[in-house]
Amino acid sequence: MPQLPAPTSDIASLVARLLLGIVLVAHGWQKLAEKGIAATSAGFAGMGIPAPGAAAVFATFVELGGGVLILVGLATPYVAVLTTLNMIGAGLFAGHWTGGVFVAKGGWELVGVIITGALMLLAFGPGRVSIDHLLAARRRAKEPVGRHVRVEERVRVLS
Amino acid sequence: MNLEFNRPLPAPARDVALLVGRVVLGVVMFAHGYQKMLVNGIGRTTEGFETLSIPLAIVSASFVTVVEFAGSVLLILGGLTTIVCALMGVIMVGAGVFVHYGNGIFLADKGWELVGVITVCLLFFAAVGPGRFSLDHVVRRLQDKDRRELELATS
Repeated sequence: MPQLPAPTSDIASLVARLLLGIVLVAHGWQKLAEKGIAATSAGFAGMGIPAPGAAAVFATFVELGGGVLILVGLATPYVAVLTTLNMIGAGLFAGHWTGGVFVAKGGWELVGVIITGALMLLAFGPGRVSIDHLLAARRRAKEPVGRHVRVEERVRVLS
Repeated sequence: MNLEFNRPLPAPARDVALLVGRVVLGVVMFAHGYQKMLVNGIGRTTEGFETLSIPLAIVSASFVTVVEFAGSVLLILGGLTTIVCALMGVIMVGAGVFVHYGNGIFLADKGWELVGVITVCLLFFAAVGPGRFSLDHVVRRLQDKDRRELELATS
């Protein structure tokens, strides 16, 4: 299977995480600081989103907090799932799924590619330049038997 | 609590995720390629590139149109994935430089978030490969089979 060798793929994952994290943080920050949760909640209510107050807090929290966690690569699988749910919701209530592809016409391309990025993070993890990797490596060092299992698994993944 | 961080999904789930991701990004890129190739046509696409003062508009418009139109099909099929990702990456950086990077992040301000997140997907696909459900994987298996048979015949 053609794939980039290990150091390069880790750098690619890092750059990808930085880009995705910045985009999510920007949206979360906009909701929290620029518009404010109250205005965001009012906007959500206008779009017919149920429980707009809770939804606004959820979206803000997932985008801002999740974006920061993606940047540093911590709790990646959980953040990936929450981000995907958030984007599915955005697609449903903002009408993206039925608006065609192009975002200029209200389509789903942006939420679609954000979900794709989150899906890749869920499937492959954040790469080696991440806190998750650091924590996993530290824990494995304490379990000499488990370490060998993981090395074998890694060899299998790479072959 | 034993939370298993940074653990990739098991192989079958990874391959399904890659297939889904490739199809989503492929459809997005195909829509843009289709628009440039058949809805607007290369001529009007070139004019659009000229008004954005993109250099060598006819060349760059043709390059972008062909890579988006044909590259997206290859991306969905999983053929020549690394090369397709690299070529699309060039387009995304070009779109960023000539249109989006100066406008902040948000799409509402013509910012770079869409080209940025498309780049995210391309980086991941290049990093991990197209997965098992792909032409690249089929080709690799046939090559391995050929090599084994050749080794057997010559030994």
